Amino acid sequence: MPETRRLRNPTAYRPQQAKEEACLPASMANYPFRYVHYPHGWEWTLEHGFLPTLCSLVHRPGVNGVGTNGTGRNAKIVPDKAHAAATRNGGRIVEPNDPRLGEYRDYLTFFPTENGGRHFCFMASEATVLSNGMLRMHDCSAEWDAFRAHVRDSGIIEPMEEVVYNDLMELERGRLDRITRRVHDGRAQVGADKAQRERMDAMQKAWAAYAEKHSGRVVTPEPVSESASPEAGKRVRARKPTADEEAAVNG
Amino acid sequence: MANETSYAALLAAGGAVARILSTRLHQNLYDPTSIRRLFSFVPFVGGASATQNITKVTRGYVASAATNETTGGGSRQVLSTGNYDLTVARYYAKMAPTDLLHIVGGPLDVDYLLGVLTETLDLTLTDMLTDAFQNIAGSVGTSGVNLTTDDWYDAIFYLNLQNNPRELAAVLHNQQVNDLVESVRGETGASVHRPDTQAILEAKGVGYVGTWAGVDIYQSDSVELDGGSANRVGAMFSEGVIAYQLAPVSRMLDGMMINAADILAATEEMFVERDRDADNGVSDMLVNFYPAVAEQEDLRGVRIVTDA
Repeated sequence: MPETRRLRNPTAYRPQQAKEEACLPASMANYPFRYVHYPHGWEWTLEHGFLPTLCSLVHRPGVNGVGTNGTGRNAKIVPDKAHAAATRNGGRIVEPNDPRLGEYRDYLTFFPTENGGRHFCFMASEATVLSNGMLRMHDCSAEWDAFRAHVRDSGIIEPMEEVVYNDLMELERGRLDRITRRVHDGRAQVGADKAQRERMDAMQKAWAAYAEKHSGRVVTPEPVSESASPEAGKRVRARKPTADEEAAVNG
Repeated sequence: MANETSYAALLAAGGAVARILSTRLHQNLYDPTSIRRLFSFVPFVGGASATQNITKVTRGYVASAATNETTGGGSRQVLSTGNYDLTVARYYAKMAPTDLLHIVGGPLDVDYLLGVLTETLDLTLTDMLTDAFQNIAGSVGTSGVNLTTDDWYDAIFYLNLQNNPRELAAVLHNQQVNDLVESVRGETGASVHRPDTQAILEAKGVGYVGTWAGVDIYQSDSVELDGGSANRVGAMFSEGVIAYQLAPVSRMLDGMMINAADILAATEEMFVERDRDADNGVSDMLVNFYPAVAEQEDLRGVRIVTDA
């Protein structure tokens, strides 16, 4: 039998005011990605030494074999073929959920964009959208370099090989030649080549330490800045350790 | 004087309006560059698969000297091959003009919207191709440093070391083009009096911006930033670094899967269909195409990673 009900304390009605969530413009919408390292991809930085240059394998359907499974909003991106091709070509994929990433785990993040899209980016990314619509992505290269240093040291990627180092030094030697010519022609300040020589010295010392750490080889740097010899700055070849040196390393 | 029939009076009482819509349309700035002609087009085959596997073969074998006049024989040489996949995926863009829009008229009519939709094919392909750049293994440039002619020659030398042909092209971001032009300004010696140096110093625009040191240069704002958001990832390459494909949608149209009256525009590569929502007085205009992009041979390209 229905009973009489009394209702009290009605809820105050407030028209829903959609809070404007900070979004990037719709044109910034993109696709998820994975970082991939190929064996020849290395560069030199002053702060972190040799850092891997990371490629982005974009999970965009139709690119490099990435497909989809399902339809409409339930469609899932299937990147297996793209990953297999990258691995076949010598790449090492840095998975975001790799525990060896430590604090950089889940490096793949996103900003929302207008129209419900997403802009996928590195975890340290920041953006400012001015009131006139101009967009600027902030420089997060410091965090990016620290991340790459961590990837280098984590064991996720292969160590740098001597042949790669030699190619890098060859490029630096070419730069030194060009700078030296410009100094002689008066197109560059006197002493401009000094910075390049010091850079090459730092690279040699860093390689000596890196080679010893990863392969046990003993490398003797030949300082470029202190020597006027034509041989200075030429590629450094590691030599096999002597029996005494091996015994010292192996205890 | 009094009792004028003024504009202000008519505006207030009736007989004049504050503003009318001009038929003139101003197009805001955007980058319409299409770069697909720089890459290899692979015709779609079909054959019950959305994926086409393309074989790559390595040539350049040399003969060996016979070890003996009459005996010894010879070793067989194995033909080295590889392969890659092109997998098409459906892409679409949709606009929905309402019935009221048609009724009131104006410069933004169905034809204009059709033009906006059909150009999405080239713009989408440009985005896909610049996405594929990011997986090219080799790179030149110094992180955080503007693109210079030194980096330009480093890229040319890298490609030359891989036995690339003479015809090279590069796709750079607007900032990278600016930096290159700035660096060319400072060149002296053999470069300064060349016609291509003079030409590259002229004002630039979107798309093809010129040729310098034998490399055709294209500018596109689709060139992405790297992970640190500090560098742009352009590329220099010879033809064949990346391949693309567009599945022929005509097969579906010929198969009469869609009412012919609902096809607003169609080419071999794409079609625009209409989807009527009578309840809400809206007609969806949907463009469909099926592209695929894949890296064909990595050593034909090099990334140019320089300050954004």
